Amino acid sequence: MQTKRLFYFPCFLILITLLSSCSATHQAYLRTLKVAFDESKDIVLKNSEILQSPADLIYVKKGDSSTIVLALAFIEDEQYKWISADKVALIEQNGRLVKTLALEQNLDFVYAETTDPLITPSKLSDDISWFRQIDFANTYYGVRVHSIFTNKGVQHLNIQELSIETLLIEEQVVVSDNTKHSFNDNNWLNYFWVSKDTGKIIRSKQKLVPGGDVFDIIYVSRALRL
Amino acid sequence: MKKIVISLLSAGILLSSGLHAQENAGGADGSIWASGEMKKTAIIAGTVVGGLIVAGVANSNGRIVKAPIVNPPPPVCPEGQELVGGVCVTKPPVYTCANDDQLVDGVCIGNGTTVTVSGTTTITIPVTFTYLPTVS
Repeated sequence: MQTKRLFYFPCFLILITLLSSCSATHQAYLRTLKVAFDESKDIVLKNSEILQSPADLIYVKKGDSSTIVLALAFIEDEQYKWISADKVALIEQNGRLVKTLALEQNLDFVYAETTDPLITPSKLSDDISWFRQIDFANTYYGVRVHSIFTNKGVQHLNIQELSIETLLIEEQVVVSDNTKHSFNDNNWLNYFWVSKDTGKIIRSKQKLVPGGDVFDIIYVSRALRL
Repeated sequence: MKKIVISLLSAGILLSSGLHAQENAGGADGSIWASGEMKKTAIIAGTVVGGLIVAGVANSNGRIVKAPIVNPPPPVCPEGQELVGGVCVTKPPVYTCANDDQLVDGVCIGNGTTVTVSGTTTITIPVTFTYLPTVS
């Protein structure tokens, strides 16, 4: 009887340990440790790699995550469709992201009755405003957004060791509250750097939706062609 | 008539392709030239939340302790650059003229006098001169 107890007790302890290792708490500990030791780093390409790429490339940093590289898949109806290695798509028009696909929270739709002033950023004068409505996260529809643009003057950006003369456009974004939705994060600034040579966006820092991440986008292929 | 239609169509196609002559799209397989994963952030975010819940439980004694939210420090710009909109940009050059000389269209305008001796008469003539400013 004593021998049996001596055998069963360690077996019972081992079983409990094995079972607890599978518990959500232990899995969470493991995931946290994995993140702590994650060696994710920003991806930096050489100029030769960018120039040799058959598709145009952009650097994208979403929130606090590492910088990754997206490639241009299609240009359709003046919309640039960029795709990541894990098949996330960013759809952009005149430098503004108008739709995202395969993210945890997507910008589904942007609707405006008037033209986005970013279409002609070099002609943009101060205090021009623009209204639009956005749908996002498959939950919020027709959220009204108001932007006021300010020309912040000439800036010299350093991209891939090149100094590029740009015009900085600041966009103050205000999300209007209404009876349907109310957001804590309803006021932020977007920035667009426009090449003085080509009038095209070279870099942008933009938040798409209230409470969302900031997308920092650098058009590296475009910059190297200047 | 047919030829005209075909040539007009060809011209249209050429024009529309010319609009994006510089941009290169990789098509449906474009992702093979991309690198890094964007969805990774979702896993990390989930993990951090998981980690916070674990921390909360670990410190709880029956109540959840919220972890403080710490904003990341702003980037430090290298020498000669400044932070604008969260991005390091090259500082604009500062042009300086000597004394109180005025800077007009990138050129300093100085004032002085020229002394001319004619016989026993000394004539002082005010003159203006231009020179390039000091760039720092």
